[in-house]
Amino acid sequence: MDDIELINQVKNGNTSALRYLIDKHKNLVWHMVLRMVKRQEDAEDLCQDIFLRVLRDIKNFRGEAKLSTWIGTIAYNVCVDFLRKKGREKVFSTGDLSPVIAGRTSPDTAGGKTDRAEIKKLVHQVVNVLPLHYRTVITLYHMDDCSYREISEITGMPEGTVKSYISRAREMIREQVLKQVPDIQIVLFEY
Amino acid sequence: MKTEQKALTELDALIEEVLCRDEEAAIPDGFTDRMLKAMEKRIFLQEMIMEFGYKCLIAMGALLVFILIFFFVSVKELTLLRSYLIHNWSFMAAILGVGFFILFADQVFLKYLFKKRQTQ
Repeated sequence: MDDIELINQVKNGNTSALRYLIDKHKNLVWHMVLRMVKRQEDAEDLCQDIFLRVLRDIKNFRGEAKLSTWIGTIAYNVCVDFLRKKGREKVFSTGDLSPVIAGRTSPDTAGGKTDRAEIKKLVHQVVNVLPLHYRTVITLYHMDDCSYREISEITGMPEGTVKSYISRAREMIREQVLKQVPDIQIVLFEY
Repeated sequence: MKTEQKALTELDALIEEVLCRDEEAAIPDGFTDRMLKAMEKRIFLQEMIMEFGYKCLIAMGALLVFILIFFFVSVKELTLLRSYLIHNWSFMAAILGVGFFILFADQVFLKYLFKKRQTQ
């Protein structure tokens, strides 16, 4: 079913079409929301709000953008509004958070040895404490295979900024891992 | 130096792996069903409230027709009715309020409650 046909079916109240729409876009919405708000309980409530908003506004969808991009935009705006209301984090902060990252992550060195699994865990921890925009764009780029253009449309950031944030985020992750696991060569080549 | 380069390449690959496949971000079971249930409940409630609104409009329309008939048939009786209503406005307001409450409870609240229990 293509997007236009799907939208028409949803507008007509077809429950199967609605289920199909949720199934098709749940990964995009869930990944973005979870990465942005970081708490599973909040993430599920927000996903409900997002899909309800999609259902409410779908009659106004004219097809200028891809359906997934449109839904992604709604998801992004809902999350930003939520984080602003909760005052959870400074939505537009892109300051140097190296000390913050270093203070909130640590490789779990059971028995004094770090292995690949611990490094993966460390990477995951670092991603979670990246500034909001950084972790949003890398999630959209890597987990949801969005192009720079799609990410730019979803977040409202220029394409150049998106590319720069993705690149910078990867650098920050790399820097932190190297800082916290100085003997990385030994760890990686032991396996 | 070569080993260092290799290590960095390997690290980049590992970072890419984590970014592309985050097991902790797996969608919980029954996600679609829960979303659908929540949406169906909300749609149901909206439809009930809209139906109730239409019924109120019809009731007001019926009242208007009633007043118009009196207006064209007998203005004197309409005047008597009007003065009766003005003198007993609190009683009339109470009857209207109770009527509105019963209609709302029956047409919206109870239906929503039973629908909620059915879907749980």
